[in-house]
Amino acid sequence: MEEEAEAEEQQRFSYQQRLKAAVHYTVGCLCEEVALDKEMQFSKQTIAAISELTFRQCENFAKDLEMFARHARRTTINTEDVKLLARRSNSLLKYITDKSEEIAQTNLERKARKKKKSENGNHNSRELAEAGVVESEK
Amino acid sequence: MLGPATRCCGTFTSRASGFHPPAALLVTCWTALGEELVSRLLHVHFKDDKTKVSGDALQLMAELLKIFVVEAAVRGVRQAQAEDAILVDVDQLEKVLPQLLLDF
Repeated sequence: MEEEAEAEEQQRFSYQQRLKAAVHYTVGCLCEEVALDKEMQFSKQTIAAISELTFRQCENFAKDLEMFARHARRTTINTEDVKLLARRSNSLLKYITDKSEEIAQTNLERKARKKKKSENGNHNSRELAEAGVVESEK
Repeated sequence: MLGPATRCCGTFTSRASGFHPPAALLVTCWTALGEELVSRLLHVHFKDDKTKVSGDALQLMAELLKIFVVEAAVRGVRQAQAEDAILVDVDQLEKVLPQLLLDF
């Protein structure tokens, strides 16, 4: 029984390690962009430190988000919860709020386009036949 | 991932009077922190198995995390420039850490 628990612990540990590695890679990419833009290099230790920092900050974020949702008697975290996370800095809050509207708008447009596409697909063959007629009428 | 990486130019800046945002920056942004990665990162720390994250919230979180990383990086650069350092080392990062964590 103890062996099973240990194996599970091992699995969870290696999973977290893989996540950390993925974060490290992404942080590396983002820092590379900043380095190019600002013409200033980052030491490897700095990248590693930012990566570790980001991973730890995720834990805080996750727990807070869960608490916010539960406080609102929900099981699904939504954008309001995320905005609450960004409350500590005015400029950050403004940025996140603007982004949230942008995301909502983009997703709305995407849904509208998808709906149009599926409706068009049904009439496709008919349209192709009619297209010729319409063109000549124009 | 949010389909093909979308490249755009954005500024994280503030016009709030009195409060001086440490980093107004121009950055080519892309959803570097893929949505699946963000989802996994969050789920690992949830206490309740039933907790879920909406799609929009996930996108927003990816944005927030990207901002976090970029802010840390840019503030590090500012510190290094102020110190006439040739690169951003842990010493510079340490100095910007307190304010960074307070802002987030």
